[in-house]
Parts: sequence; C-alpha cells; structure tokens
Amino acid sequence: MIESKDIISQLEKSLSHFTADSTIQNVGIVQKNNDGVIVASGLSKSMIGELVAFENDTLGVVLNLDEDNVSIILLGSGITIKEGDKVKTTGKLLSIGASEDLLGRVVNPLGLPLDGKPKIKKTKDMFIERIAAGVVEREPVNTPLKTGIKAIDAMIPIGRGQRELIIGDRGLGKTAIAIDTIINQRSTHEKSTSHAPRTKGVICVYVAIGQKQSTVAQIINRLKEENADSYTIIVAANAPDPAALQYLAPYAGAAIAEYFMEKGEDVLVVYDDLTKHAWAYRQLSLVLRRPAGREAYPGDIFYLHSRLLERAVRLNKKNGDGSITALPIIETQAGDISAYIPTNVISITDGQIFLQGDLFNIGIRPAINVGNSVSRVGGAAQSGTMKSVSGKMRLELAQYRELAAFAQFGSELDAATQKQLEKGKRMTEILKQPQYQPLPESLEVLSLWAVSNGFLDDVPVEQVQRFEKELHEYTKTHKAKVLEELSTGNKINEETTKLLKKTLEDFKKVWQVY
Amino acid sequence: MTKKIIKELVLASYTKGNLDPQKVEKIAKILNRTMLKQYIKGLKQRESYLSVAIDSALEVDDKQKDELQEIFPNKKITYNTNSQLIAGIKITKDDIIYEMTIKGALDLIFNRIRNNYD
Repeated sequence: MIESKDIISQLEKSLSHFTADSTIQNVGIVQKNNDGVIVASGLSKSMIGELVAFENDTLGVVLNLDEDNVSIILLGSGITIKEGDKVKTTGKLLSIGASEDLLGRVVNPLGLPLDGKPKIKKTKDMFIERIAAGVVEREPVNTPLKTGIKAIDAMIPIGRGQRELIIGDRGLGKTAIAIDTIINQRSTHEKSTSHAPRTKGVICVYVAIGQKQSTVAQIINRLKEENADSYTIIVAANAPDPAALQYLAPYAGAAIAEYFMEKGEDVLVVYDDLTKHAWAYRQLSLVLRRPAGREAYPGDIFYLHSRLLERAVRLNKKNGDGSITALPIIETQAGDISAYIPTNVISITDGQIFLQGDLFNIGIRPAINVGNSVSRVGGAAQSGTMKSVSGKMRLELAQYRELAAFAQFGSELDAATQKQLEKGKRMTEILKQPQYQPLPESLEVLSLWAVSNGFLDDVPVEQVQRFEKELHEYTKTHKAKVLEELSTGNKINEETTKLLKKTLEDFKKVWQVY
Repeated sequence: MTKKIIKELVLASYTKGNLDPQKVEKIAKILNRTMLKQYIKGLKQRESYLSVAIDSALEVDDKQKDELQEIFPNKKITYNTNSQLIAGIKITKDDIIYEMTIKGALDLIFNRIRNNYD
C-alpha cells in the first residue's frame, strides 16, 4: 500500500531532478507472435539483451537484431499481443533487483516474489548477463565447501569457488546431494563453540529450471524444516513458465550470487538442472530460426553454459575475498555421459560427481561412482584432517573394486585378498549415508579413520551402519575432546591417533553385536 | 537478391519525393503475391521514413510550422492536436519518438512509483 507521503516525496524527488529535456523513445510494430517470440519492425536503436515493453505492460528481451526487424523473447504472457501492437525500448539491459531481502525468499528470474510475500526491496540492480571476473581478480580455490557427505568430502572434495558437476540419470539423488550440501551450510552460519577455524557463512542460491511445481514446493518445505531457508534464495522458472524465463533463470541466480559475492560473502549456487536449461534455449533458438546443429541445439550451446559457469569464482583479498561455488546438475539418459550436453558441461566444470543406477539399486546411497567422479581443484582446499584419512581410502577402494571384479571368477582366495575384500565391503558400507543427514567433518573423519584402520574388520557388514551411528553418539557424549581435536582442521598427529585409538577401543568394549 | 530489387523498386516509385500512383500501378502489375507483400512493406517503411508526425496540446501556428519544416527538411509533416498531452509537443520520426509533454512527465513519475512501491 502506498502512503500519500511517499507519493509526495517521490514527486518532490522527481521535481528536484526535473529538466526540460525531451524523452526519446525507440518504438517498433509487432509483425509476428510465434510461441513466445515476437518479431517487430522498427526498434532501430535497440541493443542485444535490452528490455522492451509492450502496450499491455508485458516485458521482453531483444535476442536477435536483423536488417529490418528484431526478435524479442517474451518474459510474460503473449496471448494478448497481436500484429500491429506497439513495442518500445526501455534503454535498460535486463537486470534483477538484489538485496539482503532476498534471503529466505522464492523469486522468479525477474525478481518477482513467488511465495506470496511482499515485493522485494532492491538495493542494487544486477545485470543478468555479465562478463565473469578476469584472471587478475581471481585466486586459486583454497577453502573447503563441506557437503557433509562422507564420500564427497573425502574423495571428491569441493572448494569454495569451484564448479563441480552432479551428473546421473533421473531419480538417483542428484538434487538430494545439492540439498544436503545446502543444509550442511547451516553450520557455517551457527556460532561455533569448537576450536574449528571460523569460516564465512555460505549463502545458498537454488535455481530450479523447468521443474515440476510440486518438486520445488517439496524442496522449499524441506529447507524450511531443516532451518536452511534463512540463508537460502530460491530462483524458480518452473515447467509451466515460458521458455524465455527458464533460459534466464540460471543467469538470474548467478546475478544474485554476484551481489553477495561483491560484499565479500561466499555463495553456493545450485543449477537444477542445466539439461532443461539447454532444452529451453534450444526451443527459443528453433523459434528464432537460428541454424540447428547436433541434436538440434544451436551453435552457441557451449557458450550458453561456459559463460554461466565461468561466473563461479574465488576472488582474491584485494577484490573482496568473496566466492561463488557452482553445483550444476545434468540429467543423463540411460547413464550416457557421452551425449552432447553432458560432455560439454563436463569439459567446462572442475570435476564431476557421477551417480550410477546400478549402485543405487544395490543400496549404495549416495550412488556415487568413485571411479568416474573427480574433483580437479578441490584437493587443494581439503583440510589436513580429512587429507590424513582420504588419501589412503581412495586407493584402498580402487584396489577393492579391482579385486572384487576378479573374485567373481574364482572361489578360492588367499587370506590377504579375502581380508582386503572384507575391508572394502565395510568401507563401501560406511560411505552410505541417509538423505538430509549431512555430518560435520569431525564425525566424517572419525568414521573413515575407524574403517581404514581396521576397527570395523570384526563388525558384521550389515551392522556397520549401526556401529557408526552408535560410535557417533558415544563420542559426542563421552569423548568430546576427540571431536574437538578433529575439527581443528590440522593433520592427524601421533597424539590424535592415540586419542582416536583409545576412543575406538573404549567404544568397542561397550558395543555389542546383536 | 529479391530484397535488393524490391528496395530499388520502392525508391523508383517516387517522383520528386512524392509517391507516384502511375509508377506504383505499373510495378504492382509485374510482381507476384510474395513480392507484392514485400513491396507494400517497403513502401510503408519509406513513407514512415519520409514523414514526421507532430502531436501538440495546442494548435501549431504558421510561424512554428515554418520553424519545424526547417528542422525536418524534405519531410512531410502532419500535425495533430491532442489535448490529452496537457502541454508540450510529441514528435514521431520513423521509429523514434521525441516527447516533451506534461503527460509524458507524469507517466514517468507514475511508473517510477509503481515500480518502487507495492
């Protein structure tokens, strides 16, 4: 509701800036209205990416400049726009109003609220399309972004400012990994009581592209239940929204992330998912009559994603020390990672987490295929504590997989091989983790240290998860000092090793196999 | 190639800056349906390029008309009186509109308030 004093003050403000200059408008006439794309004549002074307004207040963005006409993608309903209607330029490039008000809100790619709450106050207009930070402003990834998922934090570590792709078929838990990561950032916002080095709170932006509204609603509710909504922003362009909005959604998410990054904050952006983003862009390009290439995608489909993911950055101290970490998601068909869009995004990102259907079906969840997953830069950001346990683990798991494949052919195995196989089984078991239960690093290290040092060798495989759960409870109640030691981030030294051994030995005295 | 020919035909349809009905008739006879459509579109564009529309709140007097003709030489100027503009003048030249009216200023203020407040 507008207060009368606001209107008067606005008028006074306008009066103080009033000059007798004329306003100049560039107008055009609608020639065609095709599936959300308008072709208009005139508009000779319009720019690529400029916002234009139609007579019915619908907005559009100029995407093609031809000799006699321009093509405009519609950002709203185009049902009432007909041939002969007027369209005018606004002189503005497409931008989204950003402010701290966005935290905890659900908005569309134009910044309009979708959660039924009041309009968002904007502090700064952020351009939706922007050139990413240059080499001078950047520094290497050096701070970990903890996902709270043991398998990832240990073997495919992610650093702040990294781009890590999550790839896999539908229904294998790609979104679950992203949501768990968002939930795990809650600990970065809580006041720490441990000796862990203080890291900046991570602000999260979840971009939903072309998803079912029910799925987005579920995610919103889950984040609320986990108290993760206070530091999360959801940008949604859902399945019924025009392709133009779906195309703009990830860029809008990146623009919001950049607003916080410029303030020196660390931001995590999840793009869920870029396959649907590519579909939306393909639809627009075909309607715009741009030449179609492989799988009918336009020629600039690589640039579409590379310019988006290049906006993930770790800025150096001179430039504010902020960062944007990107977790793009790609949905594959029948596990085919060699399709056009997956290979493109794999080559752009700094690594990928590959989820496999076979693993999911035999109960390994998260269904991460450690062999095909990689993190190219995250290792540098991994804490000393985690490094002490993870290096050995990756190797042991690789050996286990190889042995397990051979063991299928023969029945008689020597004792050493059998021991290695048994340990591998327990290792695989301990890497299983239920959804929405991310763990702090100290507990992750405790579990991984226990299994790689043979403390689970006498625990039946089916009881490994119970053992782990009870070990965590026991350590939290009786051996808090160990957890404090493990959360310092320092390498595990002799003293810590002794403490860990003592903890495990004491726990095993009280723990019983059912 | 056709586009270029159509453009030339459009230019050839004018005699001393005015559309020549005889030339238009001759040209229209030799064109097929698609080309005729493009020709009409071209003529419209040319007409829009050659003309200037001036809307004003009060009637423009002869002296002002002479001054405006000096500003836009070789253009056909059409004058309209529109009291809704309250005061000022609005000039439409091809696809560009120059507006200095009270209505335009009020619209700007209205839009600003609408965009900044709920």
